[in-house]
Amino acid sequence: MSLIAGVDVGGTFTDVVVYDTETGSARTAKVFSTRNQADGLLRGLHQAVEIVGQLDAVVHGTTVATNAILERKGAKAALITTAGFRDVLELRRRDRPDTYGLTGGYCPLIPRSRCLELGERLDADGKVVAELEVESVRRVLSRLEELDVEAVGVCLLHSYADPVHENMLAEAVRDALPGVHLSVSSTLAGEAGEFERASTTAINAFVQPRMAKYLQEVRRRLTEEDFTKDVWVMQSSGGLMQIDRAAQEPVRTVLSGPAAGTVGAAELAALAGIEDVISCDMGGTSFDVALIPRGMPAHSTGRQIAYGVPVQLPMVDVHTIGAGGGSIAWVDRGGVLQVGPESAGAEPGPAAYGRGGERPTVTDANAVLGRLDPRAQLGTEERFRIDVAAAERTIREQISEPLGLSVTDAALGILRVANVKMAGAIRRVSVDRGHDPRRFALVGFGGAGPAHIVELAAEIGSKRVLIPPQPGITSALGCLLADVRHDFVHAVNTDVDAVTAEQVSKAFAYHREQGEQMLRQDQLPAERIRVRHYADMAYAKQLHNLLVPLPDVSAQWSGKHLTRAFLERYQETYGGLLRRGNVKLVNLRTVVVGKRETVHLSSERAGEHHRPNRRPVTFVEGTFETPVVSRSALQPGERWDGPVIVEQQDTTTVVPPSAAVEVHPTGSLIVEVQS
Amino acid sequence: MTNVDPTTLAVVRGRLEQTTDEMDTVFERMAFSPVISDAWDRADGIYRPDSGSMIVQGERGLPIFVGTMQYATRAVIDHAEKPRSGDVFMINDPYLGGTHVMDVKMVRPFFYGGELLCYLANTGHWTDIGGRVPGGFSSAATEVYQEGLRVPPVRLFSGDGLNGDILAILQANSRIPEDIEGDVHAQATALRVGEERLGELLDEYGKETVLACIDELEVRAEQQMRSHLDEVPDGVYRFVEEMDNDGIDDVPLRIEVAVTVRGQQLMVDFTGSSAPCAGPMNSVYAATVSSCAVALKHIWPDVALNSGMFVPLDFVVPDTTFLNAAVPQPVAGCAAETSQRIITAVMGCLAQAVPNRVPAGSCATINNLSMGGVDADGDSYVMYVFLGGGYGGHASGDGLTNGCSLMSVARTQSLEVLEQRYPIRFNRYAVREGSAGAGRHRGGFGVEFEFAFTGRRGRASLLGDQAKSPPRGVGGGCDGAPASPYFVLDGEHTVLPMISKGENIPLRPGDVVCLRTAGGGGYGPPSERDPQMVRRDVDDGYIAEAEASELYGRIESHE
Repeated sequence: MSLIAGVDVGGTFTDVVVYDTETGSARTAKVFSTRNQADGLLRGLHQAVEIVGQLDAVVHGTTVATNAILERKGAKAALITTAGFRDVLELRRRDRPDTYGLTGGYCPLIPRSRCLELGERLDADGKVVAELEVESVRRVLSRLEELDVEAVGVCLLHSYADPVHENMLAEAVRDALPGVHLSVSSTLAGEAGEFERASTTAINAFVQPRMAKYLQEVRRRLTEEDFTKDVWVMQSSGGLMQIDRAAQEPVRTVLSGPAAGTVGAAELAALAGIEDVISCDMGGTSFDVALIPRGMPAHSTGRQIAYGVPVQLPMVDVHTIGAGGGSIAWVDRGGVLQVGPESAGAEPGPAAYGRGGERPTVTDANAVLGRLDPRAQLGTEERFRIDVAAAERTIREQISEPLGLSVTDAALGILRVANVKMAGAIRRVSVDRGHDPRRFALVGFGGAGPAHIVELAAEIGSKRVLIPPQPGITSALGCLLADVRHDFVHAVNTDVDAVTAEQVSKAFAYHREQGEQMLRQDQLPAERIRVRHYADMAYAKQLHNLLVPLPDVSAQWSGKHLTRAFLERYQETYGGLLRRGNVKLVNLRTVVVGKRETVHLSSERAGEHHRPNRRPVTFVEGTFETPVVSRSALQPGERWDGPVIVEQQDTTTVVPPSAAVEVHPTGSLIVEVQS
Repeated sequence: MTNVDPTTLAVVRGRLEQTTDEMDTVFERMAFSPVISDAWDRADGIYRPDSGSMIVQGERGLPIFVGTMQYATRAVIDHAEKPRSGDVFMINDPYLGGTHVMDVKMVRPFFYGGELLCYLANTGHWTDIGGRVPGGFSSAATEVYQEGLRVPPVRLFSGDGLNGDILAILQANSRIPEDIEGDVHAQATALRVGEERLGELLDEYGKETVLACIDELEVRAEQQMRSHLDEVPDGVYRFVEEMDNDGIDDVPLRIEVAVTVRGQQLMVDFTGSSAPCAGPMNSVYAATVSSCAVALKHIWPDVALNSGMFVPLDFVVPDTTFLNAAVPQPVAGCAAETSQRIITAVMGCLAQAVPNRVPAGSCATINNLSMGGVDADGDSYVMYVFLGGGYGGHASGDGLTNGCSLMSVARTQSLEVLEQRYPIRFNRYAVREGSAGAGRHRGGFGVEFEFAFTGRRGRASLLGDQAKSPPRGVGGGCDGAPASPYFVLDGEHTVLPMISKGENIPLRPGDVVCLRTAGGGGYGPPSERDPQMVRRDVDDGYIAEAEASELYGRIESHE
């Protein structure tokens, strides 16, 4: 028997799911997140398992790094650059936060007074054109000492082509300042693009001391409970790494939670036999959407975590917009109804939460329409009830009256506008990659997802929806299901015709060797190791790289083969080809995956079948006495025509009149949508 | 008009915006010109069938195209005979609703149930459409004929079939014919996608409802604009911007603006501005009006992008000024340079009226730098880069350092990638210390962009401005530093005769190009700046201690 805990710490809730791999039974907990995330984590674990020490592994999705960046609360860090380029962070890529309005600001993670310059220079081929100046190294080291920094990031020009100077400097820093956390750009993100590489390095330096301290505390408190086995941390790539590596390279966790959600969505859809899905995670403040064609979440590199803070690492391509249960509805100066992007967040939250929220939100609209159980509690927290009267009052005063609508119509309007915004985000991620969203099924999860997902599917013309067995903890479940993953990149930057198969093989072999070694350290047997190769390629004149999968790992990838793979991929993505035009190879990438022990998800043994309650629920089509069934009472194969409400501890699924829902043997709900 | 319920109105608004956003996305993904795919120098919208006025335009579209496409669509309506479904008209004539010839518009009539309901249109900046210098930004052009191929409204597609003869003419006139073909397909595909989405919206809600929403949304945008204008005190507000010169004659070009606010109406009057100039700094009417709209959108970003926002506005742009150019006056500098100074001039007027809403003056030139020649391996190359500068301080904080052009959202390329591709080696890319105008909230900083030439031979051309009159401070704030580009040619420190403009400057190995861009103006008296902020600026090396104490007075000492 094996007991594994997945823990996802989000902005509002900490979700825990503990799986018994043998029986397939699961226990879950949902508690409020705490300022010190370790408190919530332990509290959640205690609710889900009797003895923490009996667990066999803990897998953790964390927002510690993300929060440090967004709140600009990180370490006292320094950045060392090539002379002449210390302002690399502050200058960004010369953009502004918003298309319209000139008053946006920017604050780099590391202030200019701690950005130091070093005498050295490589050219674009990695050739040394100015030796590392011993005197300037000495000067930098003594300045670092004076500044009394906790962390140091190093990013020298063209270090992706040859890390020689970065390595020499790193060694000098380690010798001179042994207690200081060190982040080196060529190790973290060895590809061209000085701003993105410096940003990735600066983020790592900025969050590392805090993350290391946090993970140490998690480790310590688990040890106090007699748990001494593996602790894994979810990376933004959707793969896991050991806790020690997470403490070294926390920049890999900036999208930890959302990535876990896509892994969960992909796996659950695959179990139900659905290949092409779009994951839709709607929480309190945001809506995260990701395209998962053929069961593999789409990846991208270089995404911004906040304005001017990009991360040059492979991450699940999650597109986020400000639309969640807490999104505030308002009427603009022209008298047009708007929803978001402002959110009531967890504090004060929607009016219906009775925690001081005084502006109408999406959750309030759901409450007013009877879609949320007025007697339900929130998560596994005690003493928490929905305040429908408060929801109604804010909607009446701030939406109904200014627009001359009934409260019901105003509430329906709020939901409709929110759905249209989310549908726009779904179209965006699909079109961006050359896909038609109507061909995809939607997986709706997060606390608010199941209440909206069916109407959302109708909005974009999608025919099918999947709602996981426990939608509110899909990210925590994703943690359980994820594999261990290590990403490698090798910068090439030449015309593809100049590349030989030997060169490519050599780079890939090196990646593979490193990855296998790391997985051995992770205690994963060789037969569980999978290797995937990719190339970043583009037409010579283009700046956008296309990620080209190179499916045959044993093949010899000559320039000609690479070109063919690129052209196929290009045609598939953009629907056209250049008649001529040189192709260049920018980077070679390898993903080394260690498959973890399979978790057999089996459906919850259904509880007692009982007669559903009924309550009036309002839809666009009208108000119906709607059956309200308990999710735990649903039997596999059971089918309901809408309207029907399915309630469970962590969320409410709304099935409108024109849809029908069926319970899949895996426990997921499959909804057929009329659009 | 049918009465539209508020929910349907909000939903149709969202769907229309998403339609244009999706057109923008398709366009940028498929385009071959990097200036479209990476710098997002493109826009998509939907326009009325009779007047060409704007129904909706994508929020991510290039701001300067906000107004211009209305005029381009109007030109197609006036010139095109019997538009049919599947037709796509192409036009880049600057004087018929454009900017410069590189900005190519395509316009597609949209029929629903046999009725012409509206036009879909887009604009994209093509990298090269001929002219005397690669990329078209000649600083010494004296006629539009030297700037590239000029195309009146022509039917490029009939019933979705491409007219190969026209394409052949376009390709024969470009240095990069394969890009032309790619851009044509990208642009036409974006229009077709827009047509599909719009058709779906109409099927779903019905023609009557959608048209009623469109009318109503214009009324609402007008209402938004009026409600803002209502808060502006009545009066006449004047401001003058002086551009360095036109690249031919070293005489300043005056943009003289009077903004009159009466109740909920606003009029912009350019009477008194300089006469049309010999060089490429002239602006066409559409670009001038569009720049005014961008200025107002920067002040009131929440106003919806449709023609309703123009209803309370009036424009007087005499054709005796360089801001209402006629054939064949050269206009290459209009979209990137003159337009930005029109924006700062209009904002300069309104800064007097609603100081809490308007930042101080900002860097308003992009310093177009192009360089071509032969690299060390003997291969030929063309490099085109442009730069940002500091934005003005504002009521809520300091100005942004290294902001992009006021009329675009284009990003820079990475220095490492530039060094991979072109025979240059950067010495510095840095905050230009001391360039920000002092103030309670200081301006953002300009940049120093300096590289040495490492090729065999090359020729550089610079089309910039703002070297003589800096971004202005407001409310007692100081001016930012003006732009100050220089070259080191054969060991000689060299300032160009026109300072900010010059064409075909010969470069030899080791020669240096250094562009120092303008910093933003300060907001409010420097004496009111938080002493801790001054201390921080000194510690960060943004300003020398002596200079800071001179400007700001007392400086906090370290505790």
